Amino acid sequence: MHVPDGFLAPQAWGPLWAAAVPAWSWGIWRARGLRDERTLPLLAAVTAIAFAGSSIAIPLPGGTSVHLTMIGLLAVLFGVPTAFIALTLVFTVQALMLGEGGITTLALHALAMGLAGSASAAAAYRLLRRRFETAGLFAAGFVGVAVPSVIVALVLGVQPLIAHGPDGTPQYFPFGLRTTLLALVPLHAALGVGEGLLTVAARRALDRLGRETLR
Amino acid sequence: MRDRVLLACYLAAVVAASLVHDPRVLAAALLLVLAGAGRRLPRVLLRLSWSVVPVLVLVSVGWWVADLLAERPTQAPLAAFVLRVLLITGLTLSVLPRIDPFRALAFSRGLTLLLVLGVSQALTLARLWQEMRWALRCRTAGRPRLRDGLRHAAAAAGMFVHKGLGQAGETALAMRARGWLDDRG
Repeated sequence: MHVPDGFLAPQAWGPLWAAAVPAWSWGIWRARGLRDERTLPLLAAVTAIAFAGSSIAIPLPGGTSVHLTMIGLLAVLFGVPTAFIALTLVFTVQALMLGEGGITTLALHALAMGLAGSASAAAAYRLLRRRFETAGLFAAGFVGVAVPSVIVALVLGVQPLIAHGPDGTPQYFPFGLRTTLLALVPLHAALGVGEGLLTVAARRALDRLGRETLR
Repeated sequence: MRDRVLLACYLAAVVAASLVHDPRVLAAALLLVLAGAGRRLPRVLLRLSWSVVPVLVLVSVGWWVADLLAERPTQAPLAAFVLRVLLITGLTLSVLPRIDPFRALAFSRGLTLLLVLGVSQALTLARLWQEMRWALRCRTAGRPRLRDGLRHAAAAAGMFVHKGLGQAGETALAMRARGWLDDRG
């Protein structure tokens, strides 16, 4: 889901950056700022957890694997603002240090995965947790991947419509909505099932660790 | 100061490159960037090859086939697209290792501290992940089953959260002991 620099037209990344800046301000404000003695270490820890978590491979049948996003788990455990800011920091480090994603596409990644992904994951968990906690955790992991994939597919798919030459030739990402939705959403829905299962299992493992530490 | 200026120049170059559509200009700029990479060139090329080249090949072949079927001659836009992506990623991979992020962010105490804490904890967790992978390999004769792999990944994610929260608590206490609250005015 990491879109490289050069795939999005300025007509797309400009407004996305304009929307992301107030969203980041909101996230920092809701996470009680960068000057609080408890918030700052927690934010750093969640960023480190998300960064290290992205190196965990979810094994798939057939011997292949995909990387964990931890969007659902972070949103459930730490809330949307903290997860949003931490994931943004992870995307920044990935773009600047590893060349994964990009600077112009950073706002898309932050808004789609960091904000919409964690907000939908937290909402799904809240909706289900009272009666079906396990289902709520699974749903959080699933929608934390599925919702961002729809948003990324929509943004990529409108590129030929908003940025083309006089003869209609695309100047940036060339494929329309039908192709991007078909290519990205079913694949990420399948990955979301793995992420959902892992969110449930990780929460159980965390509970066990907590009980063992208290003993 | 040098790091901040370099970072600002890099960001301006990324924005400028994303506005150019002439393949000749983009190709010349890419050659300049690769020439400027110096001794880092092999590493830059290697990183380029696994970070963007696979997705670029996929998109380019799809674009080329679609145009071929529609009998549209679009070599120039396709070349501009590919060169632009390679240029910006090449720029990122060759310029950013020359910038010290701690010095570039020195204008904000909160951001610097966040970076220091985040990087140090990420390194600790990365080491933990490596140890857990070795432990799984030591415990398992042959290739781990899918179920073992899933349980291992979940345990690692749980351990990351557990250890990360512990580190956050310790850091908060250390910051309090060093007067983080008192010297804020």
